[in-house]
Amino acid sequence: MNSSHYLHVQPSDQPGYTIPLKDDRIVIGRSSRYCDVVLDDCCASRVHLKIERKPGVGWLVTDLHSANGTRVDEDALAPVHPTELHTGAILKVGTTQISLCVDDVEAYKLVIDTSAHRPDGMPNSDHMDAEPLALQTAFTPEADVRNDTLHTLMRGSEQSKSLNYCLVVIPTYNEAENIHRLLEEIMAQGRQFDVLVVDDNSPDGTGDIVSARTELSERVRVLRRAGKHGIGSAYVAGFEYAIEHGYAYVVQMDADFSHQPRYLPVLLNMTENVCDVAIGSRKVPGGGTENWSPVRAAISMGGSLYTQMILGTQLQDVTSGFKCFRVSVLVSIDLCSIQTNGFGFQVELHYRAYRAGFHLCEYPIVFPDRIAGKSKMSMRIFGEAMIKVVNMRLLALLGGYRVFLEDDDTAEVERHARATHINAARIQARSMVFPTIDDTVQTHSLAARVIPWVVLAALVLWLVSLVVGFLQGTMTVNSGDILARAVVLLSALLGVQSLFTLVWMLYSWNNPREAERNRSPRTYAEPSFSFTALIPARHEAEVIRETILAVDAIDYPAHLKQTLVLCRRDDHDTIQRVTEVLQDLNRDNMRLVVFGGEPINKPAALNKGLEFAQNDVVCIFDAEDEPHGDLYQVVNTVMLRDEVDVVQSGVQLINLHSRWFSALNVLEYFFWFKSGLLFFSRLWQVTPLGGNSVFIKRDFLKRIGGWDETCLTEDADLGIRLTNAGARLRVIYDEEHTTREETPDSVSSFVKQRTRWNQGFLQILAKGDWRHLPRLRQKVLACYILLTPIFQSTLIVLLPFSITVALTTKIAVGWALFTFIPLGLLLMQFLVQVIGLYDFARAYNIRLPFGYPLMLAAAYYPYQALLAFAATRAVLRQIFGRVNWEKTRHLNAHRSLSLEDGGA
Amino acid sequence: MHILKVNPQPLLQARQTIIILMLLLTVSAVTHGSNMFHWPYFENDEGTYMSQAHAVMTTGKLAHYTYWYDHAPVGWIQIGFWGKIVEPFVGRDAAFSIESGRVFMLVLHLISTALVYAIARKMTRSEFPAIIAVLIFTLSPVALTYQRRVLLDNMQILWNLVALYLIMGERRTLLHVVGSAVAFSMAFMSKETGVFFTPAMLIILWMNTERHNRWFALITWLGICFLIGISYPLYALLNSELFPFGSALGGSSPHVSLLGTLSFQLGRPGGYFLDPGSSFMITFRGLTAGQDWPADPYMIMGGIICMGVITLLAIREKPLRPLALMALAYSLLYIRGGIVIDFYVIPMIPLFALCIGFAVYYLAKLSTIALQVLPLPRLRPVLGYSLGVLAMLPFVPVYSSTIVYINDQTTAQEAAVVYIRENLPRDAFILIDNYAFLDFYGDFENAHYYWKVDGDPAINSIIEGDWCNVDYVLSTPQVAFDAYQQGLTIVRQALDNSEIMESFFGDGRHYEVRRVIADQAGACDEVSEVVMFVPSPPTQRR
Repeated sequence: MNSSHYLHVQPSDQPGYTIPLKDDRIVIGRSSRYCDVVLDDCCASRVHLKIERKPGVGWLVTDLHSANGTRVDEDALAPVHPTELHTGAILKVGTTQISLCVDDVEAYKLVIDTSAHRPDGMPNSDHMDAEPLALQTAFTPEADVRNDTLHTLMRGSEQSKSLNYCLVVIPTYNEAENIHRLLEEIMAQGRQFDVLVVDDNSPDGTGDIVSARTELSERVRVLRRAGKHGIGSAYVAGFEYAIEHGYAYVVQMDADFSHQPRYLPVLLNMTENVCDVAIGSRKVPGGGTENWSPVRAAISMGGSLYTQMILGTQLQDVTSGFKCFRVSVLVSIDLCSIQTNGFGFQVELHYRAYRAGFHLCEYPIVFPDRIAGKSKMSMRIFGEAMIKVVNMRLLALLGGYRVFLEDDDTAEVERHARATHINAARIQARSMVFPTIDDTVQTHSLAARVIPWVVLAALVLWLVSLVVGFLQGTMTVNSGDILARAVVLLSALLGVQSLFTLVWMLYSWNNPREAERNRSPRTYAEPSFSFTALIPARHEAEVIRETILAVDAIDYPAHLKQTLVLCRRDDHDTIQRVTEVLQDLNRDNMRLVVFGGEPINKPAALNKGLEFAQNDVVCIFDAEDEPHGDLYQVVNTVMLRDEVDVVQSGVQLINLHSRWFSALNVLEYFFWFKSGLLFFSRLWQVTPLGGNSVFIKRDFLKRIGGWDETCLTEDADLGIRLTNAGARLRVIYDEEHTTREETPDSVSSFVKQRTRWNQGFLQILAKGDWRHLPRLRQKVLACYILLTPIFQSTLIVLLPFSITVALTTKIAVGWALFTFIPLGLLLMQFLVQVIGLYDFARAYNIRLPFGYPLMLAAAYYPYQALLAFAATRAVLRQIFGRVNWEKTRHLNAHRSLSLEDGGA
Repeated sequence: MHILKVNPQPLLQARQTIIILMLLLTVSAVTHGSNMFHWPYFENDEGTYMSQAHAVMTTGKLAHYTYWYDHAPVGWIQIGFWGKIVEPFVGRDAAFSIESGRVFMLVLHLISTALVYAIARKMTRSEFPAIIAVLIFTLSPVALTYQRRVLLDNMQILWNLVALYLIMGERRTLLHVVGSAVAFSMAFMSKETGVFFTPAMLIILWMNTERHNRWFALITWLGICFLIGISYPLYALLNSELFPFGSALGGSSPHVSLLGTLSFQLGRPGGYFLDPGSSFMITFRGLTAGQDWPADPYMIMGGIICMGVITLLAIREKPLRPLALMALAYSLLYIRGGIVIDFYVIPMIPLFALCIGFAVYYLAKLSTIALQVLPLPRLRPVLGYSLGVLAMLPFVPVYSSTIVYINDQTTAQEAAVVYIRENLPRDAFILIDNYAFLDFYGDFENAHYYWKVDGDPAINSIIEGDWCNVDYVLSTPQVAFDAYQQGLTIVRQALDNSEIMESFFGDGRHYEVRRVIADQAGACDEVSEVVMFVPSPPTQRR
């Protein structure tokens, strides 16, 4: 496959190098993340152009909307229009010249040079013995080569010899008291760390101390500058030094021991393996500050909040000055143009990296106050940072810091760039194989950043109006008129609730691109995890056969799956039925587990099943479920790709027409699994799990002790406890792969089911596990989700009452108007449900009779009343201590339906 | 061939864009700001909106007089908030003066300018049409005149532009849609003529969303607009003022009503729009060739022609469709046959400016392509764009007219107010042009807007329906016009039986303080009583 074509790259100020064109496509630009050939050229764009081979045509060059354009033999290229590229033609990209050559015999030798121009590659700087090693690193696709290389180097070198691997940049000004001890501690952290002290001519002789130290070890360097130029420019100087000397990683830290050297290895480790920038954070759980005065803490907190609000990043600690970068990050964020000093510098650095699409993550550190020396915080620095933040946001809004332009080709470029990024990553022996879609650390999408704030703003607005309402209530409403005030309060609560519901209902449709991420993967990874399916069945003789057949039909290697049907010993019909089916099938990996004991409920059955489960991942199917044949493949891929421990796959009620309430029940599931779960898990990091089609790594289940047998909604409870245990959860909903279920077959079983859920939620609330969730918003949201059914139905039932009061009593017109807001929002909800109905029908290939929305409208309020009844019943049952498990009966309605429609 | 896609110029860097925008905004601020307190004269409606903003913020009512659903109140509530914001710095009187309102309008204009720029840039992905559009939008004498005035239409422009901007571009998210719907609701709640844009907005929304969320977007958008819009009739209903009295649902005691006013407004005839005597033609002639009016034939005629061109081009050029749709949708307002008032043109100004900018851009592109025959490739775009700029030359003389920057129409108005303050007794019953309402509010308890003696039973009853009880009239050309042309009996009789006390002259406009002489020829027998509310709708300017 080797082509005889080469690219010769000739920067204006550096020696040229040659690259063989092995792939059919090659992207060139400044960004090491997205480009195959990385140019160190200020005038080139991050993603500047691509060169590709078209069979039968030859090589084509396309300018990717670069800022300064591309010239081919002095003719400017039109953006995004492929132009033919002849051998010998000279491309001008910024100040660099690139030419396409054939059969250049000298080329291969020069390839060695390229690693020097890949900022991510292992360094091959001026040390003579480093060169062959660098070559090996750059072209051996094995994951741990770098470490081997490192060890080789470590064994072969003397104690004081530098590896040029990770540079710790420390700007100093009058740090003579700290610096010596600091250097020693850093050196003690490991051989991979070198130190560069950037000293601004400290009067107390810090520079001299360090200079003396450099004599002893090559690993300590010093950059002495003539005057006090500020911390920002000191860092920039240090970073540039690191880039020039071929370091792969750069750490920035302060000299005052507020950044403790003991964190260095872990930050480096994170940057090597998890993300592009690892930030030592005082504000994530586990991190913190010591010995801070309340004033300083308040200023710091206010500053962080302010910055987060304006910039919309989700970083907790935006001003942290302790972080580790991949050098590629620093190369691509255009250091020379950063002008801020002080705290603003840290913020700008974060923000630019973030806007450039790099992955930032935070690691908790403890931040003691200065041990010695004097803090340099000043009002001026503070003010500068405040203004700079707004400035940055404006620039970003106007398109600054952006890597990609909005164009049709963008998506393609992005995809390609991602792919090449993966290749690059593999070649460079990174341990990260897939770009991670990470729900728990950071989500860098517009919607994810904006929506929480919109929601929060709406809530705050409502709350304010509420307070104002009460204050004014004493004036405008008759002061004795409790009724009127109660109505206003009720409307406010219901308004907030309806608005919030509307937001999560619509979340999944907000951004088409975002929504794509929630779907199943299109291509599957090699089967790697093994699965144990637990099927608890009680009085399910009618449906269990099909379920077992469906689970058996799941397309996955037989030795990687196990199926356990769980029946209690008093349930003879089901046991007999299951035995028959298992005999028919005659599989080694399918077993019936019969057990006794108390209590008689699903979590107890599941716990019994867990004892017999042998495989990596445990999943739960209900006795009437119909899992999709690819489900294991999907989950296996997602678990590998996103490195998650728990996957909740979509569950969908499907029998729209069975009963008068079926359609609304179906839609409830549709919105909850497709949109709600995603909303809560992605933005609020709370994932209430569903009762089935949930996949949990067995280790985690064992660790938290399985299911809670006293809880009526063991699934929701499990979600909270898994989150507490540090499990990473992921929700996927793809119409194709949802597990199909049926709605309860009668009003009474529907009410029983809802009662059980609501009562279970109350139990969980009382149990209080949610209080241990690490973040405040998780606690609030968990609490909210648990209380919503009861809360909402109470309010909706009271709505007609409040409208009547508004219309009939003498309440100020403004407040009367106010009481109509919830009604309007409920109307919106209903309209959204109607649209969702058609969306659902299309996705599941169900035909809707004409005028169906009218039926929906007619059923709407009775359905709400039913929910309210169930909620009341749950509260009463809980009060009177009745906690037995009321079971729902199943009739296979979803199966007959799916057969009729020919879909499965 | 899709001309717009041929050889697109790369967009400038953010920094350069900011610089250009800052320059344009400076031009905008200077042209609109200089002489803004002296030209044009303070208009009746400006006084009305400022006084109603004042009423909202000081008394909590929607107007000092009975609110009769002339417009939805959101427009002057916004002015009221502006007044509240500046009040701590300048004091209440100044905060709610027309001057203050005009400063607010300047702010709105600057934001609108930036939006026009951003929209043009987003539509064509080029700076050239954006610059042209902004220059026309800000320099046209029509724009300078109307956008300085405190008019609800200026708020409507801003909100409409925001609503449009948010749904421009591909793959809109629901957040954009929500923002757009809220902005659009603000627009038509500020000035109801904004609803004419609805069909265009819906089509644009349809074009810019994907199958995945299209229906959700449409329903969300419509739902929000509906919910915000419905609050207005609901407000009337809760006040028992939705249905006109005498109707089945309206009861029998006289009161103002939303539907009554609406049917009155809709019923005002304007004539078939091509009829030379129709109000559309009068307005059209005034705006293109009028003597007393701020005329800008190039923007109006050019705008109409370019609108046609853009509409035709839009059939092939997808990026132009939103603009063509918006312009066409709003044109329905002019040709519907109802009354057309001169400031109905205001929301059209940005659209005309954009149409002209795009047409010129298209011309420049076409000529660049046509110039392929020329040898020097680099010269082609230069020549092409120069040609585009040349096409703009006819605008220069009109746009360099200095009237709006130099003439002074308001000093005389203020002098008249001062004269009344110094010379007339505090308890006198004075009919005033509404520009002076807040100047007298509180001091002169019986200084009333002249429409109200004929239109508002509460005011009519003060003088017992008898013009003889009117003591003075602050007469402006508008007062005289309405008195004789709109059938305001009491005002006309008062004017007929009055003598000039003092006259003020400012740039072609006379302002007179007149004393009513009641004892002439025993004419005081006639009493004209008001039972029905006769509103004071906007009329043709004089």
